[in-house]
Amino acid sequence: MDLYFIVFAIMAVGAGLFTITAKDALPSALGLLTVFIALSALYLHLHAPLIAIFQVSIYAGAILVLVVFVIMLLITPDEDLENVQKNMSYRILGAFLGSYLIAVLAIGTKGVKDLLHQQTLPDGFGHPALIGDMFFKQYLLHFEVASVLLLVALVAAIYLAKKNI
Amino acid sequence: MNDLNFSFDFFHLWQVIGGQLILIVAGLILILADIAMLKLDEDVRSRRLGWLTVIIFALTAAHMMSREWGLHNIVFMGIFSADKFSIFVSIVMVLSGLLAALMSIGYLQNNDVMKGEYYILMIYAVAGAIGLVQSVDLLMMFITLEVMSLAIYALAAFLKNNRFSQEGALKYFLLGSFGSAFFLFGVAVIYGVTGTINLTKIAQSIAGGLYTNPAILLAFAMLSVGLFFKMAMVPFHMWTPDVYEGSPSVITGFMATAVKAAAFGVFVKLLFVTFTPMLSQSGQPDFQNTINLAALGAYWKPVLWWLALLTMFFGNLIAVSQQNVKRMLAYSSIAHAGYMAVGIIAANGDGRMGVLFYLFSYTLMNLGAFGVIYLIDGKERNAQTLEDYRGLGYKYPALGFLMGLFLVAMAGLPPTAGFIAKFYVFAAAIKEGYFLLAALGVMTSVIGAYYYLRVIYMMYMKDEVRDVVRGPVAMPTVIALVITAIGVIYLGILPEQLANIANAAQQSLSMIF
Repeated sequence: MDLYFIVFAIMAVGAGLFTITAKDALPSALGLLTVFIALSALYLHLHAPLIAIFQVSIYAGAILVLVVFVIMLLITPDEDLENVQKNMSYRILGAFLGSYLIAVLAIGTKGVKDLLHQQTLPDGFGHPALIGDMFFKQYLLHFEVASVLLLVALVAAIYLAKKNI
Repeated sequence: MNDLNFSFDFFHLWQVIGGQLILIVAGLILILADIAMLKLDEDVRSRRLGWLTVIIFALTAAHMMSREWGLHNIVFMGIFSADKFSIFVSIVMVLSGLLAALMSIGYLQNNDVMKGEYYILMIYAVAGAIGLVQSVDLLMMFITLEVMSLAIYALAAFLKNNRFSQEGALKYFLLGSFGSAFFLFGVAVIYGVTGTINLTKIAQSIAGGLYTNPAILLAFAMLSVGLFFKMAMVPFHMWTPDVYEGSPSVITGFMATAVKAAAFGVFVKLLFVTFTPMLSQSGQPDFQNTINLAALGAYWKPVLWWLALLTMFFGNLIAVSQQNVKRMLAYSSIAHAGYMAVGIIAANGDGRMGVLFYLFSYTLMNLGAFGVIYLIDGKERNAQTLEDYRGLGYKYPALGFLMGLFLVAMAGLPPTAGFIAKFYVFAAAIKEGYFLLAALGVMTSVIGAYYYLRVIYMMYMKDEVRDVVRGPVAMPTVIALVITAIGVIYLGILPEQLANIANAAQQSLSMIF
């Protein structure tokens, strides 16, 4: 147990607790952001820089922005979460999602058995250079065509969203 | 047989996917051209962009056809292939784009939405569709499928102030994303089981013993669902009527032809290269063991048999009760997907040739019909119901004749291309012993004849109740309609040439590497 691990582990658990106990949705989302960042620091510590980068760019970058967008669209500032909680259908849906998550966790425990033995990873596993190598060699065309996809999405979104074009 | 290790070479890239490159670059140029002509009037700008698009499509078709001959190394980096089959389907889609672009020049003016984005999105939709058909790699298939779909979603919503257009596009987007997710899941499972995303390598891997693995069947089912969705096969057709009714008429015609052609092309490629023993006919020692894939036929053939039957029945039966002509043609397009599926079930050379011929002739007749519909409509949703078509045959003889011709072709009556196309697919099915399916299919096409001919009956044998005035007729639309009409009749009388080309195209599938 080194200091680095302890600092970020406490940060992750604390922010996680804050996320589920916060009364307002927006601070809760910011708590989630802190969890993501703390986790990515832990991944770095585990010599998995690639996963750390993904954690920041995909979870903290893309998914959290989406979450904040939805919060801002759906929940008005005066309304607090307690009113939402009174809605019965939300509670039922929440129960379903919760039990689903527990089931996923239960399945996940199967992996514990693998952790008990010493594992050897392939050389250079989880290194960002590997994925860059694949992107610009084997998957170069996929990478380029994905940029065309983004261009199309851009043109379409601008046309549809703008009133007077 | 080029070796399976990939190397990058720009000239080879240009040879194999030159068509896509032209379209992608042209789309960028069109964005700039739109800005450069900002000072001009909207209608002048829109007309120029439209003609530019037509020229670009013509160039693309010319490039792909000319490169295709004398190409001995048809696969690029194990991702794209320029076999005759892909080129044939690509030409169908470019033709569909070309005709749709010609009609759009008039359509956008009639509906007062003269925006350059329309043509840009159309070009990218065709580029994505060509990429989809040309790819021999599941991941690339997914990306290009999305390029095509995103452009089509936006085109479906192009009439921003029309509630039906918005509703249809949103439905299409949500359900379409769902369908694509199925496809992606299938890709993930295939990759998980076989460790590769290249079609021929997957075929080898499955033939090497994995064909007994249920995960392969699951993955194949998921890939198929994603594509059936785009083809509008029952029971994945729910989005079709609303989307086809709400979208701009020309785009509906484009969707019903180009997207269908892309989905059918890629499904045929996926099915016959990866999940049937077709590669074993190529004579390559590497693919000898793919004969084992015949075992999978016991699973997919009955499923596709039922889907084709349901699609033909539902499409035709529900179309009978429709009052809106666009909605009726939407159900008819579902039914046509069923007829094409009959050709796939036959799983022989004739069947694949029939599907290709069907795609080509369906493109001509369907786009022609939607061209006439938009002209009679004037502005979108002005005159789309059956009642509006009463007596139009005498009021506008030329339009009446063309509409009659296209509908007769869709009903499958001689001497039109529709008859020959149906004949080819059913003949192939009968050759393989699917008598019941062929008989039921012909029966459904009789139901189909009822509602197609009802429109003609309305046009010529009823007096008009409401004064319907057609919109202004633009010259490019006339050109497009004349091309489609001549094509429909020509292919109905002299189908051999196209049939021979289609036959050569389907044979090239076994030589994909």
